[in-house]
Amino acid sequence: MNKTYSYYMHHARKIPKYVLIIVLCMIFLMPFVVMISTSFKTMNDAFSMPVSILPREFTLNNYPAAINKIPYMRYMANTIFITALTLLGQIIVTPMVAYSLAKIHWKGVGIISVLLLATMMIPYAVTMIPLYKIWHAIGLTNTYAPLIVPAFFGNSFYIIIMRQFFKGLPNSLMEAAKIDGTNEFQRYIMIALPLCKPALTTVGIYTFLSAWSDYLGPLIYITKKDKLTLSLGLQQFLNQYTVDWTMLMAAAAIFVMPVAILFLIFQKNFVEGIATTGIKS
Amino acid sequence: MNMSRIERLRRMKKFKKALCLTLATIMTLSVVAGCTSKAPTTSAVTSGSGTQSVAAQKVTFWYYHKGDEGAVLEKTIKAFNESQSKYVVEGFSVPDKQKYLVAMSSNESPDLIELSNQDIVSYNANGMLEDLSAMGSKTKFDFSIFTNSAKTANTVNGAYYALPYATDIIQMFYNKDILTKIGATEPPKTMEEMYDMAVKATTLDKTGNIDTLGYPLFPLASARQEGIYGFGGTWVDSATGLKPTATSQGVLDSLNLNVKYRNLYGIDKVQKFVATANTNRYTPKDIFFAGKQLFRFDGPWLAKMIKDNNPSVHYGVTLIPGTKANPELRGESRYETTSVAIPVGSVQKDGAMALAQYIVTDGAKGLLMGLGSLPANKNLYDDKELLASNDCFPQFIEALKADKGVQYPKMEESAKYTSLINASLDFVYNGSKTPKAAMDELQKQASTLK
Amino acid sequence: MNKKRLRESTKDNINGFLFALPWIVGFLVFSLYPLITSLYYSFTSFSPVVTPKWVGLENYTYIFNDPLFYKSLSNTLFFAFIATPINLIIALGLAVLINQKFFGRGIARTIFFMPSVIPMVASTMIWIWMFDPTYGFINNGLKFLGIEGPAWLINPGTTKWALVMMGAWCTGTTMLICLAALQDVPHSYYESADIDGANAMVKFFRITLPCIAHVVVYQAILNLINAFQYFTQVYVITTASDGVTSGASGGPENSILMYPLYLFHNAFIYMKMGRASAMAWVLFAIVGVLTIIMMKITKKTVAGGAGGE
Repeated sequence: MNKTYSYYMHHARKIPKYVLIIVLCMIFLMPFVVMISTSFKTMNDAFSMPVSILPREFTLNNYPAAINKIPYMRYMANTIFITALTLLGQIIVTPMVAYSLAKIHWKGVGIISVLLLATMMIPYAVTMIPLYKIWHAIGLTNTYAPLIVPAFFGNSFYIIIMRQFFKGLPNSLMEAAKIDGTNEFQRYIMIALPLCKPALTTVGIYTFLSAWSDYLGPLIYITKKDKLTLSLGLQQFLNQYTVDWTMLMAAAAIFVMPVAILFLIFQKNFVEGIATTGIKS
Repeated sequence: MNMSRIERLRRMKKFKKALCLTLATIMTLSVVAGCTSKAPTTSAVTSGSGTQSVAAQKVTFWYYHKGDEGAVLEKTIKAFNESQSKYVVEGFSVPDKQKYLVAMSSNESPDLIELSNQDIVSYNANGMLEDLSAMGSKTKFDFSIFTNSAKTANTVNGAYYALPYATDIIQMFYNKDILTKIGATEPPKTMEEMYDMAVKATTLDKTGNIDTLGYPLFPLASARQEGIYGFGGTWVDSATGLKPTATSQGVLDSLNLNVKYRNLYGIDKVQKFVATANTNRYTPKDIFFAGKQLFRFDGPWLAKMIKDNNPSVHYGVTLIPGTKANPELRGESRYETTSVAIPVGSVQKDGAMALAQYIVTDGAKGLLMGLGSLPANKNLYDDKELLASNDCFPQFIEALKADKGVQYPKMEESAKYTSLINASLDFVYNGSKTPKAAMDELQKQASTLK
Repeated sequence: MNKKRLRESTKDNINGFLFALPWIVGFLVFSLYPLITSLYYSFTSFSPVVTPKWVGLENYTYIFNDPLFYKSLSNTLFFAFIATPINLIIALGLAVLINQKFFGRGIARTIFFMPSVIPMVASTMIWIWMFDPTYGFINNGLKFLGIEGPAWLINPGTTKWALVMMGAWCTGTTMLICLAALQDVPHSYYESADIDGANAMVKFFRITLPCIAHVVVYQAILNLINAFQYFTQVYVITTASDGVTSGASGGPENSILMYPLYLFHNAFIYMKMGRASAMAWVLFAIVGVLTIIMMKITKKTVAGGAGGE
């Protein structure tokens, strides 16, 4: 088949759009490229003019140096510990509360829904200090309790997400099970829970990201050096008399990697989750 | 066609699962690795020689130095542990000052902390420090080893709340080669001379950006302090340290000259150079090490760093210039000490005191030589080994002996005052406000501080 | 019959309550109680070791006379009302771009979305490095185009725009939500518009925008609330400065002293926790009022927009 003139024109008109997209992609990728390329440079190279993208003095040293400069592995272990427990808490509690609001017709639904939205409006700063005093009074500052325990009591945003999802489940399923003589709890475990995997995955992913990157929480509560998390550990590179940027970039790369990999694997879930839950408000 | 797509989806799922499992395993392994590895900065917990009939009591010591400097502190801790068997000290490098506050008020307070004397007033005002004069009289500690300046810096209402082991003062470093190039035989003794030499020495590169900086605009902290003190200006009154004096003539003179220099070359270009200088500070590419800075107000650690990094710059050290009108201001510098203090929440106060006393007496020399800092203990002023350990110690210690030195503000909100000063100086340096306007505004704001 | 329904509804009440119990307890302990106590604290003066002492309205009078309070508030308002809409427009623009079919669409979407999942501390540090006036990639890239870039984080006039750039890089989540909304617009609308001979612009403003309006506005409200909590990035930038100051920094001429940052300074550096609590309540009041206003506006737009789906 001969390609006609209009065929070519049609595709040619698309060129500016492609150029725009490619330029945008380059802009969005730039910080990652900078991070990785700097992490493979020596300090001398990083500070030589003119600046180049590719390392002129390639070195792998920064990575082991970064891990040794601060107790990196320990911080990673700490961060994983906190993230895992937070994840556990949210995954258990969020569907429960969402189910209560979506599928059970009881008196509290109205008030709680309003309160959910209201709590999302409260800036963290307002509750920060009294919360700190509470933990201080119990004697649990400088432990991970202030960071993990709240996860076992639900988070308004995630609950709203799951509630929307549950509302989308047809009531007929529950009705049928009710006729069969199951109680609420059985209905929850056997029907609702297995069906909510997509939304639960989204909540899980959000929780993971938030816990992994959490900065203000550990900043306020954790003081002992061996208990720090990766976010805080990374900051130690900046609190220096002089800043070793190449080492810092290597440390950042290691910090970012698990998130990036996770994201690339679970991309579909991310996108679907955000899409389904984001529109319905 | 349909079958292969289902097959592909299934395989993708399996692949994803496998990847997840691998990631999870890697993470678990690193958790295990992390938990079993020890934080590398805790010192080896060895106690003193001889048999122990009583278990040694643990003392925790938080210091803010890190990296190589932290290692010097660890060495001193180890020496203390080996010198006696009653206490065992565990040291932690905690560079973030804000952590100290949080910890000191919790039940996990360290027993001894390292701090700059700047923080003593505010910590004490919040009731966080132990009265060391009282404790020292019980242990019969000899406070007379401290100079008057050291005493003023570490006492509140006559009582010591911290013990100083190192002193920091600032003097002027200069590049001998550039000096010769502009035809000067000796470094300037007055600020006016320094200004003229600075202008002669400043050069631009092809693109019009500054290549060599003459005026000591960098480091920023000393430009804010010694740059003013040499003109006779101070930020608080010298009698009590409680009243802000931002509008004093010396401050204005200094800022006017500073702004005049900046306007000569364009504020943007100057700011850019300073920004780059800041990024490079104390690295091998530091502008002074690279021979791109004529005058620099800095401390004795600079000499140590020059030696460690790049011995090819020919430099000299001299006193900070005074002014034509007041030549006796020559050598004016801030007076700062690195001290140790005992938080009220400490559970091992006696052990902490023993460690503190060790640090400021027997342990001081090792610390000072390792850190490149000056002594607070008068008895070390003529110590030959100490003087020889750093090329510029002789000049600095001469300046110390004069026992002058501008003290930090004694007001409780001095941290806020410092922030206000920095912000006001930003306005001046950027040309957004004239020095007089900025300082008037600063004085007005500072008067509301306690 | 009545008895059965009554029994069922009480059973429902109990079950509903039990299932929601974790959140209820959490709300009481972690939200309501701190909220009330912080209101109490705002009328006291205390620090980490000093017990609260009643001082009445002193904290409020102080902050309302504090120039830095107004500075930090204006910085945050800038961020809320200038930076956030810019980010929203960019997110929408990207979503429109990705909504079209082209080769490599999935990859582009991934690239645009990835930055928003990166931990903020790490990305802030990368950007600080990129903003360096001499060695950073941004100025060197501009030099390539013949433009002399400013000292982004040193010049008080450019610091906020540096923050805007950083924020625009992270609008991935908003973009995805806009994209989902775009994909929800029924094709039939476009088809009938094509038949009527409408061009792209008309289609966008008359069909697309009204259909996605409620989503966009909801996002706008959410992002607005978040803008008032903007902390981590400015904290990292200001503590990375010259490594010498023991005071609290708000950036050059306090240009990036955001409200939460100043609050943090007051609480944890100046140790004035009563004052910080007062600041927190003022923030709460402002956010509350703004949210209510925006929700009223939302109701109007949704009601008046193109008749639902």
